[in-house]
Amino acid sequence: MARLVVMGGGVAGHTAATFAKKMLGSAHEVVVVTPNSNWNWIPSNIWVGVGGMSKEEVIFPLAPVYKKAGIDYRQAKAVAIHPEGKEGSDTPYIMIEYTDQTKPGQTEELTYDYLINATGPKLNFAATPGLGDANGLGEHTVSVCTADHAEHAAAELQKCIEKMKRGEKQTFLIGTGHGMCTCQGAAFEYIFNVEHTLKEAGVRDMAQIIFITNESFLGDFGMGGIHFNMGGFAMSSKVFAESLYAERGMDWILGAHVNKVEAGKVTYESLDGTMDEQTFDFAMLIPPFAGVGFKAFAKDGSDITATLFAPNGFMKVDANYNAGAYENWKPSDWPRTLQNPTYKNIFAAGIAFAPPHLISKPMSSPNGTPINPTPPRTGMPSAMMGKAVTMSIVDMIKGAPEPTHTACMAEMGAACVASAGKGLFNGTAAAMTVYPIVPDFETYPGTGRNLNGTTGELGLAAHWVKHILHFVFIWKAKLRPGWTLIPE
Amino acid sequence: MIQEIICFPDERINIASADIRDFDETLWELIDDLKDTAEAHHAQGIAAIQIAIPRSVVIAKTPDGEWVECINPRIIKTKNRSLSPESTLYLPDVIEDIPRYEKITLIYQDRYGTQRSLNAEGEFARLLQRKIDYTFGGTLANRLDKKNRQRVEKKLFAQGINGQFNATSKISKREYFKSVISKLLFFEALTWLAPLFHASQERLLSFWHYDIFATAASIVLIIGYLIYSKFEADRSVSCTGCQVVSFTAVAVKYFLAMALFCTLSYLVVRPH
Ligand SMILES: Cc1cc2nc3c(=O)[nH]c(=O)nc-3n(C[C@H](O)[C@H](O)[C@H](O)COP(=O)(O)OP(=O)(O)OC[C@H]3O[C@@H](n4cnc5c(N)ncnc54)[C@H](O)[C@@H]3O)c2cc1C
Repeated sequence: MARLVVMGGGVAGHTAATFAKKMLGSAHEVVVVTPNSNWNWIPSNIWVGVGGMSKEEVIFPLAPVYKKAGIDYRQAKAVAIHPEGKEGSDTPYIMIEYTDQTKPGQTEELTYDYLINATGPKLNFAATPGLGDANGLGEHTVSVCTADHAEHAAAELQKCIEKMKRGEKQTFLIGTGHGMCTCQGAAFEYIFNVEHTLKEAGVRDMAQIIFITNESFLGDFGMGGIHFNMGGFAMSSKVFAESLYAERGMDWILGAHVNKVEAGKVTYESLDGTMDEQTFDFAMLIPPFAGVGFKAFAKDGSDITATLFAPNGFMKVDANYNAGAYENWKPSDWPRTLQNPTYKNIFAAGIAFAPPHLISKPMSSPNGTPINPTPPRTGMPSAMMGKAVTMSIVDMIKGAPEPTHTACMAEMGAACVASAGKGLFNGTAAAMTVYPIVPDFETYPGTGRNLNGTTGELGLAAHWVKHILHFVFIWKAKLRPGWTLIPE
Repeated sequence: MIQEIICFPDERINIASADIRDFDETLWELIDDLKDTAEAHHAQGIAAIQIAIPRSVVIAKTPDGEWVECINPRIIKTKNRSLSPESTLYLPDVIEDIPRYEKITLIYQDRYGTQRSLNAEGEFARLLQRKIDYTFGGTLANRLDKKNRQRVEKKLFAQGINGQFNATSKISKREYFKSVISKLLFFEALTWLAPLFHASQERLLSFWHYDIFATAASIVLIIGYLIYSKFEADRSVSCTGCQVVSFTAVAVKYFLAMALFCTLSYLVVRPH
């Protein structure tokens, strides 16, 4: 009997664990270690953040789902990996620390035969002074990265609406809180939802809405832009995004590294090296992501964290981390099996793996500050990785010597539906797909993308899609009938 | 060497230019060609895509008459938007009022790959904005609203140039299914007018037959659309939940429209 331990019960981890259990049955053990008692459909946090949905609508408790599926669920966070075991035992194990009400802080050694690291990002608020600290979000800004943050954001937004109703003008600053952020898509969605909410509340004319981003052009999205087809028309995400912003009277600040947040004010450095300030009454700034910060130890107790993890805390996998300068980047630098090169029974999926390099063009200010989006790893690729890794492990448990399945971001398309306002009849959204996520300059000379695989749609239909997705994915995550048929 | 400039309705203008990764001879030759071509056309600036090279290179004359070579340019700061008339070689004889920023800050790389920045204002700023739009696959037309865009199209048509802005042959074949269904339904809707003109029972019967045909054909096309979409999504390894839900939603939308149209035809057109 083999034991598969999955660290992290988010998009990648939940997909991995549920498929593993289904494929392995009761012959083998599947354990999930994750610190939260609830599962959160993160994309819908955007709607929670404007008060369009309640927190309860985007989360559900994990325990009953895992109980039904026969998965051993530990409400705990993993803190260290011992891939060689310890003195007197060769069995690898991880250290976990319970977060569960009944035994908080209690630690335990959990042995494994196979380990999947799907711990996603650490929301690194501490990277920008004033944005937050080691404990998380600071007092000056809001966030929509977790359901709790989003609920808080909605309450703050409501306060601003009240003020505007009393005749006070307000400035809204939404975007990225550091030069090395990813997830611009979430900020993009949020700003449109805020604009929509203010309009609905009848206070739009009292608000100035500004987007601040580390992208060098609107619509880069960490992917160097998307060129898509909208109703038969070719559109670049820049032209498209600019017209959307301009139409709604929203301003934007590009190429910005926010380096300090104070009450009502951010300071930022621009790509041209200048320093500027922007005041705000309400600010939602996405923090940069880092790995969750595990330690790893060899059998003799020596620290081998650097063998397993890149300096940013993400796990090393079968990627080419020595690709060098931008002009040498190739799709083949990107990992395929997501297996750790040193310890063949450890895999990483979702945001937790260390990408070989950026996707967008690297840029920095004349002062040497890097200001560029880091590679996005959105829900769909994360789930595809979770599934591929699981299928490899299942085959390896059954005797395969090597991973048998791959999920490579250079061979995957991404579909993204960005909602720009919730409402059954007045909602709108932009749907775009891009293929492949990592540009392949050899196969598709020029932009590195296959235009036939990229489409976009704007309007109510796309909004419905986003709404349907919310229900479909929660249905799938709850393992309701037919869940395996729903694609990632 | 002087190169040929592409003009409306050449669709290549919509291609988004790729960033330059190698700062070598090829790039320098391209820059020389751009200068020669611009000089020959007395142009103040030109983007590489205007000579059908989809690379992010723009050259423009500064107010002092010097060429500035901008590789991978990005506009990162803007100030004051205003309208003023503009023309471009891509659209011969068209002059339109276009909203642009009066002051901009640009970052770009020079021919050796060193990053630089530049502040521009007035005509020079407008010129750079227009050229940089080209590198992202946008023309003047993208800055116009729909009404004015159509007016310009008509004007060009009157000059014997027939085309559409932003048209692209790279459209997903899925769109053809949608387009045929829409047309079938459109003609079905026209048959509802028949009773207003007191059409004879025989005429109504033949209309009703068309309506039945349109309904049946729509059903077949919707099924075809679903099958084809699934095939297309699988082929590009992006058969994601989003994709499936997206095309299913489109199919449902057409199905509902078809059902509604069929009911109305039944009530209005079918001879009783
Ligand atoms: C506001 C917002 C909107 C978004 N919208 C979209 C969208 O519309 N479409 C899209 O495709 N993507 C979207 N994304 C991105 C998407 O949410 C992520 O790509 C996806 O969640 C990544 O999956 P993951 O499994 O790698 O990480 P996560 O889903 O973050 O899961 C990580 C899990 O690991 C757990 N964990 C953390 N530390 C430990 C530890 N030490 N031990 C054990 N477990 C741990 C966490 O509690 C969590 O459960 C959005 C993201 C945000 C923030």
